[in-house]
Amino acid sequence: MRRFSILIVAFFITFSIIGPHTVVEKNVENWNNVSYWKYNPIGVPPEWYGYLVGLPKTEWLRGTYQNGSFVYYYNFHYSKVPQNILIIPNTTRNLKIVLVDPRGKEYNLWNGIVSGYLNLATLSSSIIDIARDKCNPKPTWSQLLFHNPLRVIFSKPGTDCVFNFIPLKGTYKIIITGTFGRLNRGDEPKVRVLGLSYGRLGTDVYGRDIWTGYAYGARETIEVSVLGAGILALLALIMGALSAVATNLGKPIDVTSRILTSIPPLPLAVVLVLIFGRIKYGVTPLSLRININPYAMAFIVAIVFLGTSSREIRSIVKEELKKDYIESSRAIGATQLQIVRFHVLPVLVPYVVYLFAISVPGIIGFITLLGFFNVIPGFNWGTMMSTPLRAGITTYVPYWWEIVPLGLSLGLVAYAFIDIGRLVESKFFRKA
Amino acid sequence: MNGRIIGVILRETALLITVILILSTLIASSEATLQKESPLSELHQGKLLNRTEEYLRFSVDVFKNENEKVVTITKDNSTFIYHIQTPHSLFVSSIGTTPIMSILLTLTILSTSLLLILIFGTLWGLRAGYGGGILDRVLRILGPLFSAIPGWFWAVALLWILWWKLNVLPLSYIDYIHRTSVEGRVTIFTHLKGLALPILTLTIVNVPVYAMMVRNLIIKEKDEDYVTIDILKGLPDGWIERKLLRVVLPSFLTFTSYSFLNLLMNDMAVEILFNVPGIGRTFSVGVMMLIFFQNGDMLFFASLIMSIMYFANTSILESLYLKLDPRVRRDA
Repeated sequence: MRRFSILIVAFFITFSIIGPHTVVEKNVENWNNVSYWKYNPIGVPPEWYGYLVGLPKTEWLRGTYQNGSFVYYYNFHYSKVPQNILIIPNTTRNLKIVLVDPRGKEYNLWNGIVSGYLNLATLSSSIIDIARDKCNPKPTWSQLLFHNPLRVIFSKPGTDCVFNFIPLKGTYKIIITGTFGRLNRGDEPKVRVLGLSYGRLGTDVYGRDIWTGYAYGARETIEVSVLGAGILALLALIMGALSAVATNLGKPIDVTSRILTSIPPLPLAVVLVLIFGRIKYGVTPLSLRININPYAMAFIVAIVFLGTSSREIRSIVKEELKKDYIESSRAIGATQLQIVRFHVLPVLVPYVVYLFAISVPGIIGFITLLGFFNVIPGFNWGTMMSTPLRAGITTYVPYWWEIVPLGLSLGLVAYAFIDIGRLVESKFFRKA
Repeated sequence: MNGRIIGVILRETALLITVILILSTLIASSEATLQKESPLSELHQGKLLNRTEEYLRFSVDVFKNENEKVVTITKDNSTFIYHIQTPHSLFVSSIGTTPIMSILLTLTILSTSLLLILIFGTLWGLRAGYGGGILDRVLRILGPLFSAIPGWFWAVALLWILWWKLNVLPLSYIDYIHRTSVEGRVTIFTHLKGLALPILTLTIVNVPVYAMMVRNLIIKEKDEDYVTIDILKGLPDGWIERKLLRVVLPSFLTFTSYSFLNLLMNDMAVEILFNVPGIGRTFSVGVMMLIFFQNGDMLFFASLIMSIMYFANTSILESLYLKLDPRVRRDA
């Protein structure tokens, strides 16, 4: 099991190095820019899951230029319809959009100017026309709105298109041409099918790619937590050991550690992040970004947890100083610092390693917690988890593909570090 | 003994004052940083005391039941109406409840959870530590896992199971209270039902952690000679367990005292998650006010309440420690 724990730690450290290279940097920069993600489906599971249960995937359709028109083929072989289909023009000219179903039947979808992009699911009059031709009984627009209007396009003729949807599988053709003549090769519009599955880890309520948050956030999360735990262990060792010995420094350090123990960690961390970070305001509170050096962040989390950790070390030192062999050392003239150096330090080192191991998951948890209060220093796992939560519980949908990978990673990292900590602890106790 | 308890309270009071001063300095410095001034300018002694005084005045005035002031100024032919918010009206409008209610909500969640954690954590830890068996095996898995995975994660998991899947308990406290108040049936049980999910979350998250602590203390203690003698005498297990509990209780109280800030931290997140307008929400609003309006009054108020809660908890537990630990009692 110990080998398994070491493997987990090695895996996450490697992933924190490689992971950020698997995402598009622009996605990270625009993480809080909600309009950037408008070409993604909202709240859909990962593609691999979609493949297993038969959900349409999200894709860009490739167009071919044929006699002044662009033709797109969509192979529909699913039992559910895509969330939406978007037509994004590359010209200001009026466009004519025609859909040809697998039977070869043509339906006019649009004829006119397209500003921005065209959302096929909102073309009410065209969809009602198709429904009149295909559906039995003919649904009303309000009924369609409560389901997906695209069901009309993809349903078998003569069936109930809304309540008992039966798909017409096959290759659909979308033909885009100019209303007043041929399109040029350079006018090629883009066609985006917003499926019911997306990428490696799906999307959140804003359509953001969860893999981006997960893979890119891993670097800073692991970096800050490992570095923070290291600084914490070192400072706690110095502070705890010095506060326990009766030197000139002992008393002030003891008082400082007591004060640090009494300061509520959340306000302390928040104000330190605001002092040492750089705030970039956006249009909405959601687009607020706090940039902070990971080293500064690691130091902040170390300071926040320093009080309790140094008190624990202090009590170990105090306990050790009461032992008979220490009394003997004192009797033969050893100074306090010599006793600490030669007798107490060897006892403390394993505990410091243990403290380091158990602090890593604690710090990861703390960083993610800060996100609940709109303080997201840098880009970490807290960023991806807490932004949707901040939108409010009544609008929050706990998607498993958002929670499970993060929870599992937190759990595995926590388990591995605690297991390593326990190994050190057991050896330490045996020695003691 | 009473002298020692007074000593503990005096020491904790001195710590509380120091903590308040440190927090006010840091909040004032972050205000200065956000206003693009040098944070060091806030550390000037006079300015610091002024700012601390302002923060404290806000924290006191927030309890004065004053509605916003309306000032009407007529100049030439125009009338200008200004609405000036008092600390109380600012609090009520931004948090959605009164400061007293806000504190009471947090206290209810914390005290009920702490009580449940102490009862179940002690019982589980005692049985696992003394008797071993399946209880111990389960605890050895759950203890480290629950102490490492953040509380909010379990909150989301519970939310998913209890509300999305089973729909058994109200999800949003504030929505539930508003809905029930329309029907005119808000009682103390309505509030408790509204708070059930946050309390349940905090309890479930912490019981294995506390139980693990008791278990470890019991395991250390049960190898002592006096326990072996008790077993050889044929004393009933319940009797020995009670005796062991009495011995480990002081150490457990110290752990509870240190863990309180962790519990408080998890409570803040749980309040945000389940829409409870307690000190967690106040803190969250305070952070937003500091970031967007460079005003740290509300953040200081929330931090002050957190510090006072910690102070009260430590004073009570340390006093209990003095009462319960026979060695300290005898020394006194």
